[in-house]
Amino acid sequence: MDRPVSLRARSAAVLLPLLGMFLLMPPFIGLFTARVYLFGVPLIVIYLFGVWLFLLLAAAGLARHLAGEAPPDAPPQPEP
Amino acid sequence: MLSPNLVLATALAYVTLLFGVAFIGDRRARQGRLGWLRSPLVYTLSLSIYCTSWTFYGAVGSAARNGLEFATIYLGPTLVFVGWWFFLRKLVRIGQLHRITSIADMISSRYGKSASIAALVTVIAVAASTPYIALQLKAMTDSFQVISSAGPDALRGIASAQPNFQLTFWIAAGMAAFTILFGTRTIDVDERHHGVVAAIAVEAVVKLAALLGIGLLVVFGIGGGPAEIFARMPVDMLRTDEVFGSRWITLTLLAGAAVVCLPRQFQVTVVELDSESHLRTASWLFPLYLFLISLFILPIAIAGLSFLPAGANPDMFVLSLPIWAEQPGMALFAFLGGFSSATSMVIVACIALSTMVSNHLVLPIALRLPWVQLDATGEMRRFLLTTRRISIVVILLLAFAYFRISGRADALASIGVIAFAGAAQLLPCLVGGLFWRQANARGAFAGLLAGYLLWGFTLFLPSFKGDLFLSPTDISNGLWGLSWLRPYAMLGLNGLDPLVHSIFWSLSINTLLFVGVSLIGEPRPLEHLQSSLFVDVFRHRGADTSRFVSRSAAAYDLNVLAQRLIGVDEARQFFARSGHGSDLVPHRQIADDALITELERKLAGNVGAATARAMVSQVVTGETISLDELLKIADETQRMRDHSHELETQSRQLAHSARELQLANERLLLLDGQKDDFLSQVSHEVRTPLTSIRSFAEILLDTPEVEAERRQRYLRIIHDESLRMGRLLDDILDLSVLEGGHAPWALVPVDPQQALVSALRVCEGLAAGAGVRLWQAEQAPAVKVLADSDRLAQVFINLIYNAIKYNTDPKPQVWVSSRLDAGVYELRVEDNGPGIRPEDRAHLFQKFSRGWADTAAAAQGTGLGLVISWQIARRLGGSLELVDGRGTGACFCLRLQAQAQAQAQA
Repeated sequence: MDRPVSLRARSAAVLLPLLGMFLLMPPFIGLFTARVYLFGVPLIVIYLFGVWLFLLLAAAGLARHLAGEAPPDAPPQPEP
Repeated sequence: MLSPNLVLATALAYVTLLFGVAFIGDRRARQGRLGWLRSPLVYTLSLSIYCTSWTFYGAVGSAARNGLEFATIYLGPTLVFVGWWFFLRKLVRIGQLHRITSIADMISSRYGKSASIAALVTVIAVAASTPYIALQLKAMTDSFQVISSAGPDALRGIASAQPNFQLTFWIAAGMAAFTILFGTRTIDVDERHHGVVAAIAVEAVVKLAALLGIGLLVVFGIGGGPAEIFARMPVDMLRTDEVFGSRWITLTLLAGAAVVCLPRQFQVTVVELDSESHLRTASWLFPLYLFLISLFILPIAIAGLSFLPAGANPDMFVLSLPIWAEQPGMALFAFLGGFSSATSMVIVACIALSTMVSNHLVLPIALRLPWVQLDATGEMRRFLLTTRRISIVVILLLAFAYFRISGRADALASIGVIAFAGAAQLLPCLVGGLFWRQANARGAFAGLLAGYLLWGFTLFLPSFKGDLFLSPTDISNGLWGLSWLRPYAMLGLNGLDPLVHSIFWSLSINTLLFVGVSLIGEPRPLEHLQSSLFVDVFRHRGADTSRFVSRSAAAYDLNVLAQRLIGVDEARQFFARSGHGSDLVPHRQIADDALITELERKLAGNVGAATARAMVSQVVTGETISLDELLKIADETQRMRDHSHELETQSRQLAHSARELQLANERLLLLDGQKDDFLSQVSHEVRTPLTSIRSFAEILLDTPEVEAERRQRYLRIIHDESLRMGRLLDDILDLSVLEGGHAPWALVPVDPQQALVSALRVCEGLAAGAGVRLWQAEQAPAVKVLADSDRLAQVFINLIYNAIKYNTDPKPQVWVSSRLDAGVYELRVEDNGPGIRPEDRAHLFQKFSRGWADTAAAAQGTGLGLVISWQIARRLGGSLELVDGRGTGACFCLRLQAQAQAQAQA
């Protein structure tokens, strides 16, 4: 349980929401508003839910690398 | 259309089921058999109270009205949870360490356990949550009326003209009963409510299944596939051209803030959390839940718009579509889903709010009132429970009142957003408190108050459309007729969406005041301490503050205090564990700092840090907070950083020195080896002539009768050899002088050509004797170099001498040329002899190297000439090297820096 979390995993954990913000906020998201249909579904809908799915899958993949130090479940003993 | 009785019976059956689940959950928790109750899955499902009836019914309404905008409400939390490592992990860790009971407790603990901040946060939370609870009541009432009404009203999703307030009242009463029963049965350790969590986990599954069921029915039952559904989409329903603007950003921000700051979210995310590792699972499982919830929102909205009669209420599409499709079972299921999402939200919100109201508003006041007696054993616990029960009733009544007043406020979504905006006012001081050391109580208070007032003025009050405090004229023309005080255009800021406008003013003024006032003031010692404990929570192990706070109290008094809140048995256990025995006598045992701190922490787990501190302060005396210790921990981080930086530098320096030392050692070893070689070579060189001298001298001594001619020859050899030995010794001496560089040379400008002429003159005889043709090629112009002319001639002679002597060519020739190249005097001596073997070139200028080892003449040289020449060239500031010549022979090049032309011509 008490294995150290790699620097790469920690950086990824901080960067993932920022990437999500970039992908989901204007102006970038505006690139996908064209009236194009994929399998009969508007492109923007596919893009939005695709990014969503990517984010949660990435978080799931990352979570395994972020086991981290054990949380102090037991209250600490007062020092004598 | 279903009969009201059937719907009512189903709802009651469902509620009974929930009671059962909550009861079992509570009992298992009490027996310590938590099992699945503490699994990450249940934790994630409990988080889903984020999806209230506003989601269940309102998301479809929002999609029908504003297209894709509904997604922001779920994208914000997705981003927050996906980024859990950065923020939520810290929040949760602090919550667990400090036994935080609510968001108000969290913020007030951070700012020096300030009771006033706790009270303010509580007021904000109640104000922001009341409309939200009202929204749930409204949704439940509407849905009940829609599903049980007959005819076109059901399809249009419009409850009969007047909301059934009686129904709403009874729903509210039922909620209050459930919450009081399972939420305030006792004051649990750490304020966990396992029964409630179990019930809302069940509700989370029901509402997700219901929404997915409706979605599948719509897409594959009614619609005939996703493509067909989207083909029915009204042109521009998604509003892709305008939706990705300031409202998109604002709503995402609000939703992200709400999932942390809403009191009920804080309750399930932080307070009810069992183990920090659950958060890791929730980081993707909760976004997945939101993803699934959102998946069918658009298709349902499209179906509602295209199948239901025009003018149908989009907020009730989820319910009216199955009615239209004549699927009463599905409609009932949808009703239960909406009922689930509303009840779970109301229950948890009431628990969270009642905890806050009792801990931070009622109890602090009661403790100050002289006529409230809470001194008897367990009295305070009973008082707290009663307060919480009353608070729950009051909060639900407030929500009911809000619903009555704003009954005509139309869309669900706008009410939800008001609550989000109110909760978002807590964000600056919460985030700042977790990451910014300097943030202090006064800044937090100022920011919160300003944000709260601005939110109330620009969003909350105008939402009543003139029915509460602000009249319609105030809203359109400004308060007291002042045009710069218009709620939707503060200071004349026109043209913004009312939500964006309100968020802009409230959050920016909130943050500015928070930061500004924090920067002006100095934190009090306790704030300083708490700030350090919160900001550096991952560096300090544990929440033990006893080393910073020193105070004294009689253990007996503390015991009495503890008994008032946690009861006799638990208090006795506590004091027994801490080693004070269970029989405490007044004025006898004195409690140490650690015990007082531990007790305060224990009490804080029930009544919040601020109140616990106030209670403990009643019995302790002489509290001092060690500023030195504080400064130490405040600087600890910096020191650790400095220290590690220092270590790093030192280790780098050490590595550097080690490398240098190693190099030096290698050089020394090399030199040592060279010295040994040199000595053995010298002795060898000296031994050869010495041996021949001794042997010839012995012959002469032993055989006196040797003939004169041979005697003459032997004596000649002895003479020659001793001369050679003398030369060798002279050279060695010369070399050691050169290498040591002891005596400075008097360098004067000399003409190298003159030295060359004299050197050539010396060598002419030798060349003639050896039959070597000596060519003098190119000549440098008159130039001066700084040198010792004798030494310079010595180098020339040595080079020419070598070229002549070791030339084995049948027609031996030597070329001597000199030139001036870019201020450098260059002399080349080249021969057509065998040249230097490539493997010898590297150590050509080493002692006794003898590049011409295989020539017969080699034996006669000392092997030091080239080394001496090289050393001289170096001492003169020039260089001597072997360069590529025109043929096979060796070509030596001597370069010396010429003096400036003007001087040379002078």
